[in-house]
Amino acid sequence: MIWTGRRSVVHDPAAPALSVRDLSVSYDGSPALSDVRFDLLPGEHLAVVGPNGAGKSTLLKAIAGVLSADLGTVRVHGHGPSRHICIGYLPQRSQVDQRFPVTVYDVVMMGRTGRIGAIRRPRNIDHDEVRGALAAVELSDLADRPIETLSGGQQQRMFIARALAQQAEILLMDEPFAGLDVHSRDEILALIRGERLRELTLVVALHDLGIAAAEFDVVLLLRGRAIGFGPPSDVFTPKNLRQAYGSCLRLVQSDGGLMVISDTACTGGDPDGVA
Amino acid sequence: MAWLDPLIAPFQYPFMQRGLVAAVLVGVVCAVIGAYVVLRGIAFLGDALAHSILPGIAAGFLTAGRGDRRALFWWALGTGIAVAIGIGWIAQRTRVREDAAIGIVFAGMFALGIAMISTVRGFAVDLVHFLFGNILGVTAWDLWVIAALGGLVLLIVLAFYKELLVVSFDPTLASTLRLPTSFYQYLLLVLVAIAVVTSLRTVGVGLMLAMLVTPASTGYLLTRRLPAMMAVGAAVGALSGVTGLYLSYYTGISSGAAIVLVAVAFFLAAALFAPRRGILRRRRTRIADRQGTTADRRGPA
Repeated sequence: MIWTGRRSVVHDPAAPALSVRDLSVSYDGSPALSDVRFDLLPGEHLAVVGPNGAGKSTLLKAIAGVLSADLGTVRVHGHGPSRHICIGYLPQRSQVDQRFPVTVYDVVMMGRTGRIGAIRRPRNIDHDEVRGALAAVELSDLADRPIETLSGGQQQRMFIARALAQQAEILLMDEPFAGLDVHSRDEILALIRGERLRELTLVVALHDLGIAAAEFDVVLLLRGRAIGFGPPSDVFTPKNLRQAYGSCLRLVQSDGGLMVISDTACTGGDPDGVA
Repeated sequence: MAWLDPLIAPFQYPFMQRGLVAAVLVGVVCAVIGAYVVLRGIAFLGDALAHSILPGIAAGFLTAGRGDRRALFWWALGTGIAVAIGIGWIAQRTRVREDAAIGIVFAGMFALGIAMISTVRGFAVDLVHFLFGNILGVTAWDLWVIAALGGLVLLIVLAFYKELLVVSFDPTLASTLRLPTSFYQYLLLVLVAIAVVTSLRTVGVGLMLAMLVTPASTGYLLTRRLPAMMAVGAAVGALSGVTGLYLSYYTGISSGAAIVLVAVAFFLAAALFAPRRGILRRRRTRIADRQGTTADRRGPA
C-alpha cells in the first residue's frame, strides 16, 4: 500500500526508501509489535502515532537495525538496515545522560565517527560538516556549551544536527516534542518543514494527533500492530482511533469535521520503549 | 634548602623511589580509564573485576611458589582478561538482574581465591598484600611491566577515543553508525582489567575501585569536557599517589590506604568548591535562580 505522496510526482519507480514487511518484534518473549507493513518513498515524512506501549519506539529501533526482528523484514533502500549508515536515530531526551561532559560540538561530531574511521582524527571536511549542521539548526552560538546547559528544544536540534552531520538520509525521531514548550516545538516543526529535512525521509514517533495530521504526509496508527497507514485523513477515522486508543479517546462530530478530545499519552498496554 | 628535607628524605631509599614511580603511573592510568567507568556507571563492574582476579593470583601463588612474583603477575593478568570478558558476557546475557549476577560471580570468585590461598601455611601476610597492596615491595621489573601495560592502556584509549566516547554516550548511535559496539564494550572492560592488574602492587584488589573512580570523579567535578576530565583525573591520581606515600612514610599507616584517603580528600574538596558542579557553587546558583537573575539558564538542577 504505497501512498503516492508529494514525491511521487517524480515518476520514478525506484525502490522505496523504507520498506517494512510483516514486522514482528518482541522483548524477552513478549510481543511488542506484530505484523507491521508499509513503504515510504524517499522524502516522505511519516508520523507514527498510538498510545504508550503501542510499539512506537520498538518500531523505530527495528528500523534502525538496533533491535532485530522476530519475523518479517525491514529494507532500507533495498537492503537490510544493519548495513546502512544513512539512518539517523534521535533518542528520546530521557535516554540521554544530560550530565555527560561533552559540548554541543562534540555531540554533533559523534555523527561523523563512522566516516572518520577508527584511530584517525577528524579532518577539515568533518569540521566543516559539523559547522554546517550546527548552522542549519541555528545552534552555532552554543557550539561550545556543555549539553547539560541546553533546553529540551535545543537538545533536539543538536541531535538533528548530529544526524545531518552523519549525512543521514532517513531520520528516526523518538518523541521529539515530548516535554517541549510550544515555542521549542514550533522551532522543531519549522526545521522539519525546512529545506534540509524536507529532502530526507522522516519517521517520527509522536503523541499529538493534530501535529501528525497537519505536518506529515503519511501516518501510521499503531497499537501493537498497524491499525492504519496512509494519508492522515484516511487513517484518522473514528473507527481506527477508537481501535487504537479505546476509552482514552472521545470523538465529537462537529461542523468542522471530526473533533478528537483525548489524552493521547494514555497508556494502552506495556510501557513504551523498554530498552 | 633545609625546608625541603622532609620532602626529600623519604626518597633516599630506592624502594621509596620505585614506590613513587609506581604510584604516579597507576594514578594516571587508572584515572584515564576510570573516566569511562565513572561516566558509564560501571563502578560495581570494575570492583567485581578487581576482586575476581584473586583466584588467578592464588593459582600463580600455589603453582609458582611465593618467590616467583613474575609468574604471579602473568596469572593475574590472564585471569583479569578472562574475567573481563566473562563479566561483560554476563552483563549482556543474564536472566537474573545484571547487578545480582555480577555480585554472585564477584563474591564467588573472591571466596575461591581466599580458599585457595588459605591452603598455604602462613598465608595471612601474603593475602594482606594481595588485598591491600605492598607498594614498597615494587621491584624494577614490576615498574617496567606497569609502565608497559599502563602505556598500552593509554595508547588504546587515545587511538579509540572517538569510538569509546560514542559507545559510552549513546550506544544506539554507535549501532546506527554500524560501529562494532560489543567489541568496544569488551575492549573497555579488558582495559579496566589491565589497569586493575597494574595496580595490584600499589593498592591491591580491595582498594582498587578507589583508584578507578575517585580521581576520575574529581576530574568530572572540575571540568566540562572528557579530555579535560581525564587530564585532571590523571593529575589528581598521580598527586594522590605521591601525597599518600609521604603520609604513609611519616605516619606509618598502610600505603594503599593512605593513597586512597588522600584521593578521597581531593574529591571532597572538589565536591565542595568546584566552580560549576560544587555544592557551594550550586547553592549560590539556586539562590540566584530564585531571584530570577539567571532565569534562562538551565544548569544542573
